[in-house]
Amino acid sequence: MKRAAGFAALTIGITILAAWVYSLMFTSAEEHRAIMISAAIAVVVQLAGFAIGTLTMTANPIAGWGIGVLMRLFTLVVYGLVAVRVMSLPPGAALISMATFLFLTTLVEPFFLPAMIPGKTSVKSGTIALSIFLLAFAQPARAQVERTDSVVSGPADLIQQSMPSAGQEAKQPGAADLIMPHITDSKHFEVPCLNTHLACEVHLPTWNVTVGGMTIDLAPTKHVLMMLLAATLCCVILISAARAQGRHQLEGKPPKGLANAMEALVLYMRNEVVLPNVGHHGERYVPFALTMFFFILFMNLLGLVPYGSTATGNISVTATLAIITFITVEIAGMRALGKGYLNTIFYWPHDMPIAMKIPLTLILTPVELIGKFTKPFALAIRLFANMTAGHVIVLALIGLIFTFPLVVFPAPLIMAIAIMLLELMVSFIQAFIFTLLTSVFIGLIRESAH
Amino acid sequence: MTDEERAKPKGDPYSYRSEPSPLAGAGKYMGLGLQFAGSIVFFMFAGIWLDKRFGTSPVFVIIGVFGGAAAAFYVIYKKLMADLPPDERSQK
Repeated sequence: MKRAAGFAALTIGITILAAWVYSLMFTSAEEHRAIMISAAIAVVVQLAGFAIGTLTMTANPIAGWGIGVLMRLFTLVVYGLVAVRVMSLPPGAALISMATFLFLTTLVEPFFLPAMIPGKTSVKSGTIALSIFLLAFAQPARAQVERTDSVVSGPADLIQQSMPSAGQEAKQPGAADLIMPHITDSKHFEVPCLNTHLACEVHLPTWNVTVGGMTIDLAPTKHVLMMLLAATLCCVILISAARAQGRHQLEGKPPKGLANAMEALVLYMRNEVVLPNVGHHGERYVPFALTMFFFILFMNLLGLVPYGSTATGNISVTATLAIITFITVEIAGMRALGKGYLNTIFYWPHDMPIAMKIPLTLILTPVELIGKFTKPFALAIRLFANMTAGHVIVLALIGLIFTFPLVVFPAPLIMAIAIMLLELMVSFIQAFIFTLLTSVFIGLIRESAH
Repeated sequence: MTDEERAKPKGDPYSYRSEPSPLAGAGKYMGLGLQFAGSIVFFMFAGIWLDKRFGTSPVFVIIGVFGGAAAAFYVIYKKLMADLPPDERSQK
């Protein structure tokens, strides 16, 4: 009861604080009303979620957590779809404030829940899953480029059919752009359906929000959907594998099937990649590195699935991942080095007279700082370029099928299949490299103390 | 493989290699090229800005480009030397 009271007080406090901050950002009376309504609903939902969490936490933490997350997501969706329409609240203020209230109060919830008891693995995979969801929700700021200018033509009844969006301009002859619309982000995606093209186009909404005179579209795009799909797949597969692993461990037998495969992957990444490179007490960085590995792996692989697209082929996504890595590396450095962390920013030669020290510090500090920033930059570019290049090659080879007379189609087809297989390998390698370099960077900054 | 590792029971899933992988050694030097380029560009732009400020084109640009290259080279040299074992360092 004490816990519940504490959580309720903190939830209300956080909500009021956040509502006050938002009321400064959104000025109109309508928007203020929306924020108030969001706050009231958020508090009720959070208290209900906390009750469910308390009841289930000792018995089955993952189920309790899952129900809580689903409930919050459901609330947000229903609120967005129904309440905003019916009560005609301004969508920007209502949805942003609601998401913030739920997010902030969910963050403090674990401190009030009773301690989780069962197997360590499920708790760890819970952490992994939670961080993946947070990653996926951290939508990168992205350029919304609607490609209305894609022109399709040529021998190409087939191409035209496969790209209904370009249909209106498809009459005029010219170069066919089969590649760019497939690898860039867009406001629509294709789902399998039973018509002549075997694909139906689903258009995504536009949620324009004006913050400080700048209009941002906060609606999900194709790549955001792919990220969420990858996150969901990660959660489902990893949590079920962890549960199977725990179950088999109780029986004293090794797990079978998927759980065994996942265990092999996780243990390989942990024992051969993360721990040796991060150094002493590297265990606390294992969940982060594994989160990155599986999230990137699933995003890469989703690009190879029909109707899928590669979220990691978007520079915003890889840049976001690299920035998260950068922050983790710097925090790891601060924790390991303490005050000595400043030495990784400022160049301060110890063996020189003071007259040399000051100019050297002034000149070499920018160089050291640039060295800090080039690492995540290279990470982002490496992943983005590898994923994009592979898809360009595959699409170009598929395009060759339609460019040449139909008789020669086996040649490009075989090449496309071969590159597809190569891409399968590249998906794993790039996820591996990203994780390896992340742990190398963490290890480097931690060891620079001595 | 060290003796300590050999002593560990086979099949213990929580044991791990204590040596960093060979790729990790390469990872250390991966950023150096970009750092070199980045420093030159940074000091070049600093030179352009100073030239505009004082109307001394192209003095500071030239100083910036060569100074940036020299500074980056110095930092890289220091890093490489720090990784050499002490006895080899004295020979170089």
